[in-house]
Amino acid sequence: MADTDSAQFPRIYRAITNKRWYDAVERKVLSTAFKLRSTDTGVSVLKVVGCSREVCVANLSCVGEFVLETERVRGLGLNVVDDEPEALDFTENHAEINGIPINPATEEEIRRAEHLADDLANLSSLHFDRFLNYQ
Amino acid sequence: MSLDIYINNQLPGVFVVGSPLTESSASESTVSQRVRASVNRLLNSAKPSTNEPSAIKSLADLQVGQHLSPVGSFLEPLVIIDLRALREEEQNSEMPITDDAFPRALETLNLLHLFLADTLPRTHLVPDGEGGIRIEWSRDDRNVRAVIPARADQRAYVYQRTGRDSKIEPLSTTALVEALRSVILAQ
Repeated sequence: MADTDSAQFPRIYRAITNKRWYDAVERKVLSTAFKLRSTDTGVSVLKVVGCSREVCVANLSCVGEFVLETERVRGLGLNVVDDEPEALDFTENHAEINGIPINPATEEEIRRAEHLADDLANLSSLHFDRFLNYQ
Repeated sequence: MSLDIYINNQLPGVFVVGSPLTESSASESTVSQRVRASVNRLLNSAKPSTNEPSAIKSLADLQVGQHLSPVGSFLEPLVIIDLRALREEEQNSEMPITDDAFPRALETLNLLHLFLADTLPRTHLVPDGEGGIRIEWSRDDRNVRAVIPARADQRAYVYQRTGRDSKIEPLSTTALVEALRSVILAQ
């Protein structure tokens, strides 16, 4: 998979699929937003957004987006890669953060996955609040 | 109308007509005020219209009308109310909170409330997207999490982090209380 061009896409966006991923009082993104599920291969992100209350670019029932700087994600030792053009579910606007342990089994893998979830959450901030949940 | 309130200083709880209030850190007067306010609210909501003679002369009369059931809920710790709300929110999701995860989270939070009560910063309850529950606390660059998976045969653990140092331990009340005291509550 090709690296996402950070010159063209200096920022990437994480769709907020659960409103509890963000604490509006403390203005803090929670680590769970970056915790992989057992079926995930990486953290799904968008390269371009432009959602409105009516339209969701990701075609998800999301409540908004977090924004991260592409190069700062790479600074954590992670990869940001475009979808494979040959893949059946290829989407031009989709990228993935790879390098987080998938289905961590050992104590060290679990610790690293949690650690990275913290780091990614700390790099993130609220970009779009679709239904004004966080006002 | 009189109301018996039992406050036991030896146990971290207050008992009112059989409903436990887990308010170990609150002063007796504060708890008493809360109890009185709650009961007054209850009585006001149960008052008949002014045209009818009042049938409510004692707390026992309220029990007959099943009006006492709300007492337990609005005296429940807020975090437990939030846990129930989380389960409701996730009920129609692809992966609802499981029957393994919910009681374990309930027990964990109830015990935690007994030990640490109001000393903790905001508790975040978040679904893990697979039927489990993640409970998060943070202060500055310090984090503690209790991770309760969807199934009982999966690994539940406590994660703690201070700066760049982090570690995990199997989930137990002891491990969680210790992590919170040493990481989140430490000065």
